[in-house]
Amino acid sequence: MTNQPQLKSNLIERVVQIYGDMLFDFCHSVLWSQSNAHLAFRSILKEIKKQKRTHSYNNYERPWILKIACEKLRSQARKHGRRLTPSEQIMLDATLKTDVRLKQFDSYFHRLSSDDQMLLLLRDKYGLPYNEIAAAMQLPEGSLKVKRQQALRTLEDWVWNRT
Amino acid sequence: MNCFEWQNRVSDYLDGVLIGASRKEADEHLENCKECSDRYNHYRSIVNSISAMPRTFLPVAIRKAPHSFSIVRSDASLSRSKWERIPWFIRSSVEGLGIAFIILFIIAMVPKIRTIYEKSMERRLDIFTAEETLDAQTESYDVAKLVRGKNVLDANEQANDFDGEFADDNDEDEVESHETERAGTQIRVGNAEIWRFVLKTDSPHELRLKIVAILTDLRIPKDTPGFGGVEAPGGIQFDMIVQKSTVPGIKQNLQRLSKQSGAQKVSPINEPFTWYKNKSKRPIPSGKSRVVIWLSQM
Repeated sequence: MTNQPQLKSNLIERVVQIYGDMLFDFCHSVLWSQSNAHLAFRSILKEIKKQKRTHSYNNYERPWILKIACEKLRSQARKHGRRLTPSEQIMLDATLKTDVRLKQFDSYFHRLSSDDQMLLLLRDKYGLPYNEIAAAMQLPEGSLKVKRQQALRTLEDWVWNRT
Repeated sequence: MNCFEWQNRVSDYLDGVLIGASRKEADEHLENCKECSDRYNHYRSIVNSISAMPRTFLPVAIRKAPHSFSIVRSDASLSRSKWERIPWFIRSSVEGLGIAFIILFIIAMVPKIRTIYEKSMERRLDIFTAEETLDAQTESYDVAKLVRGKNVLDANEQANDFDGEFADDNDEDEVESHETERAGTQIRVGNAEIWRFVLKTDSPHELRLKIVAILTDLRIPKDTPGFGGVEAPGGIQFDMIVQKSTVPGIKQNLQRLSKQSGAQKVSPINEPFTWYKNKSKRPIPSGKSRVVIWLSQM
C-alpha cells in the first residue's frame, strides 16, 4: 500500500523517459500547436497516473499508453484542434503546382480527420506495427489498412489535384 | 491482378509485406497500369513526407519534472498584456479587492433599488386607486336619473330652441308674466345669459354620465332641475339654471370632453363641439345663468 504512490511516480518518470519524445511529438503533430501539445501531454500523464494498470497491460505497455494518448488527443482535437481558416483552405485549393502543394504537405495533412492523422503518424512516422495501432485505436487491423489506404488516397487527391 | 485488387492491397504493398505470388502479380500490374503506377509513386512520396515530418522533442523542463511542469503558452505570449506581467500576488489582490468592492456596492445599492421600485409601485397603485375612485364616482352619479319628456324649466317653453334665434315675442310676454309672479325677487329682465353647448356624439348616454360627473365636480346641487338630463328625440338635453361662476368651468370641461370623446371634425359645419351665448328676455335670478347642454346623437 505504501509503495503505490512511489510506483505510480516511478511509472510516470519511466513513461516520460521512454515514450516522452514520441508522445510529445505525437501530440504536437496532431494538435499542431505547442501549448495544446503541452496540455495534451499533461492530461495523458494524469490519465496514466490515474488508471490502474491492469495485468494484461504489463506486457503491452506501449499500446496501453498509446490508447490513452489517442483517447486524449481525440478529445483535445475536438476541443482545441487547430482548423484551417477559410482563406487558408482557399489558398490550398488555389495552388496549382504539385511541387508547391508538396511543400505545403503539413496543411493538407491537417485537413484529415484526427483519427486518420493518428493512424498515418503511428504507422508511417513511428513505424509501429498494425497490432499495436489496432490496440491503441481500438480498431481491427483490416479496418486500419482500409482507413490508411483511404487516407492516402484522400491526400493524393488533394496534393495531386485529382478531384 | 486488376486495379481494384491492387488498390485493396496497396497498404501491404507499401509496407513490403506482400510476398510470393501476390507480390509478383502486383508488380506485373504496376508495370502494365500507368494510373496505378502513378498512384503508387504518389503514395510513396506521401509516406516519405509523413516519415520526414520534423520531430518535436520533449522539453527539458517536462522531462525533469513530469509531475509539475508549467504549461508554456507560446501561442499566447504575443498577446500577453502588461496586466499579465504584473506579479500574480499583486494581480490577485487587486482583483480580489475589485470583486469585494463590486459585491459591497451591489449590497449597498439593493435597498435603494428596492425603494425606487416600491415608489414606482406605489405610484402605479395610486393611479389605479384614483381610476377606481373615479369609476365609483361615475357609478354614483347615475343616481341622477335621466328624465323623459320636457324639462322642468321648459315646462312653459319650447325645449328645442337652441339654435340662436330663440328669443321671440312670446318670451317677452312670459317675462311680463314672470315679473308679476315673482314680484319682490331680484329679477333682471333682458340681462340674463343663456349658454348653449352642443356636443355631437355617437353615444349620448355615455357622455351624459360624464357630464353628470362634471356637474357634480363643479358642486352644482343634484336637486337642480334638469341635472340628470332629459331624453329628447335626437339626443339628450341638460337645461339648468346655475351660478354664473360655474359656467366657465362647464365650458372648459365640455371642451375637454369633446376632445376626449374623439369626435372627428368632418366639415366646418359639422363641429363636434359648439357653444353660443345669448341674452335672454326671460327672467333669470341675478347671479345665475341658464345653461343648456345638448348632446346630439350623430
